[in-house]
Amino acid sequence: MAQLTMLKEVVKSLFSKPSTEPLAEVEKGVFSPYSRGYPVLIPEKCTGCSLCAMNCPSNAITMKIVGEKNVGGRTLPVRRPEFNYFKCIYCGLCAQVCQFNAIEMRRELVILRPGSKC
Amino acid sequence: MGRSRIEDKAYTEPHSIVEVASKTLSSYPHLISVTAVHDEKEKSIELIYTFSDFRGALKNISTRIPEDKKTLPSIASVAPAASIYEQEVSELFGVTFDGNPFTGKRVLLPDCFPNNAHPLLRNVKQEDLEKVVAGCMLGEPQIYVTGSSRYSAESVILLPFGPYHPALKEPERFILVLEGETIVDVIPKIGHVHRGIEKIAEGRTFLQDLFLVERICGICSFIHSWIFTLAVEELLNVKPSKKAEYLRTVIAELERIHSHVLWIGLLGYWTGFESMFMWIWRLREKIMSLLDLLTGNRVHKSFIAFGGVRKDVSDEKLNTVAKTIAEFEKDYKKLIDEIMSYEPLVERIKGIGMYNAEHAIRLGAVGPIIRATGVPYDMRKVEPYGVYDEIDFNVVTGKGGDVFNVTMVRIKEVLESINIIRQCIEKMPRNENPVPKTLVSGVVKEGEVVARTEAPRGELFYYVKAANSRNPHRVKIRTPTLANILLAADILKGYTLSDVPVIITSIDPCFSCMDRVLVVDKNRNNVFFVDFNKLRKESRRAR
Ligand code: SF4
Ligand code: SF4
Repeated sequence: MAQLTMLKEVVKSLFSKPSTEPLAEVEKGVFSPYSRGYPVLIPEKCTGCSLCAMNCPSNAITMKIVGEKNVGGRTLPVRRPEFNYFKCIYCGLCAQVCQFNAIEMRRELVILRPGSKC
Repeated sequence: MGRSRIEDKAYTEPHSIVEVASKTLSSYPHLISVTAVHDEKEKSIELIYTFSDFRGALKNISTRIPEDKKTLPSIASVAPAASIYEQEVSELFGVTFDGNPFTGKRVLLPDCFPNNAHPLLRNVKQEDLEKVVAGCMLGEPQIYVTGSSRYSAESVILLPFGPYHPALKEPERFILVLEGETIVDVIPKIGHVHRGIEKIAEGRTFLQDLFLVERICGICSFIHSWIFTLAVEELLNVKPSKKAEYLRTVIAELERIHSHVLWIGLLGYWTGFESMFMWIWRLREKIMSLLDLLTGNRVHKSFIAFGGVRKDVSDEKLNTVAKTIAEFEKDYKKLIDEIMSYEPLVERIKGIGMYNAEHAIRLGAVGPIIRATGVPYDMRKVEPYGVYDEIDFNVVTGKGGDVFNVTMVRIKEVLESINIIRQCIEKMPRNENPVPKTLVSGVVKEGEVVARTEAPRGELFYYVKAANSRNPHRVKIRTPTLANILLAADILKGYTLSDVPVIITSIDPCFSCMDRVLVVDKNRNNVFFVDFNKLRKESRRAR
């Protein structure tokens, strides 16, 4: 009896379509319809407060000096976050803690190489 | 619930600890953990022994020893389970427990680790440890040999099983002492995936730690972040909304299903029934895609936040969960019927790896392992957290410990979890925002909290101490595999070599979780070290 039910399963498996997905299909779209995506900075909105870098769980954010600004007669450095996508765990916390919505979680699939910027 | 602030520690003098422990054991028979906390200002180490009865009451016994004279008696003679927990403290803090069977052995840390370096002392810096460990890799592995006079030298064979072995999914070493084909002794040598997470946790903020503890295990990851959240919420005095509690419960139960189903598949794999493995893992994909749907991640969900969850879940998604779960239940029941009616499998797992309730309690076992013997010890009932107190479910128990009963307990627990998820989705408040206003934890006021939850593998225990700072002062983690490993090694004795993978698997070991800690066998009265070259020489001579 047990063998018979099992045989049924085997025959069914022979004629059903494979459970795995071909890679080419995956490459066409986004990684998964529900994935959080990867963080990308919108520089115009960022104030350089460093909140994202302080809270990033994997220390994937470094605050880089990108210029200078003049505040009340003193020159202060302007800082912007830079993401290391090889350290990032794609948790989306940086985008959530940013008070100015300066980080966007983007979902299009791109091939990341060392040093690549999005 | 699920956690409590430590307010009423029973202080005792170090020399009377054995007496106090044995008195406590009569009403609190389950030793959960031995936690050490270094206080660099007071120059002392505090040891907290946490005991529980099986009904939800906890007893914390505390004792203090000075930093320069770190010796106290071992309680292993009255509570055998303490031997591992004490050994962990001894290697990480340099405390000597007089009378502990492991004394003088290296269990958790690499053999080449310097004797005077104790990683968890507060004044040891992480950078220094990195240097020590980097230099350490070069050493030759040492092999433990039991020189017990019970075996005559000619009749026994020492068989190293692991650290890399086709039957082990994670690196771990078991030295099997064989007489013919029968196992007479087992010496686990663990620590190959020790990552020092407790130390790392002290150097990061509470919020960052939430993501760190989630990475302790790749299977039961959510439950680690949940228990840590429970502890920190108690310290911060925040309460999550009802909807957040329901969502957490749903995710935790989905995780339990995926963990148990994964294990049932592996059981097929280890008994040589590979089609079973493939069928059931295909079914598991349904659950994985639900986790993806709800949280955005399949494995490390990053879903929980102090005071709630990271994002809301729409009604539409919840309906998809309800639908998929119903489909899963149908397929699962059918598949299990087919599998469990296949006699060769049932014959293979019945009556091997036998133990009884008393044995399991003595060695501190938890989870499905202890429930298989009929003890209804389940944290979801004993100390309900989340919304388990509003849900109607049963604690699954078995009729006696062996691989078959453990399997049946897990199979039925999956159905119970489906039942819980269904009720959660029905009862979930729909118009509520489960996302807290602020995610950042900031400075946490002084306090000590212990938390317990039911992970798929059994009772999980955390101790978190905050000291008015952004980082925790101490995070102590006791995973279920560590509590179960003594029993697993013990029940192997008397069975044959071919049973080893099946019996070891029956506890659903998760070595990575445990390996912030190490364990050795218990008959080690005369364990000694033999280095690799000597062993090689001996083996040549024997030929
Ligand atoms: S991205 Fe946001 S959080 Fe990060 S520095 Fe800019 S403003 Fe601050
Ligand atoms: S997504 Fe997470 S890990 Fe990545 S940079 Fe943002 S906070 Fe850091």
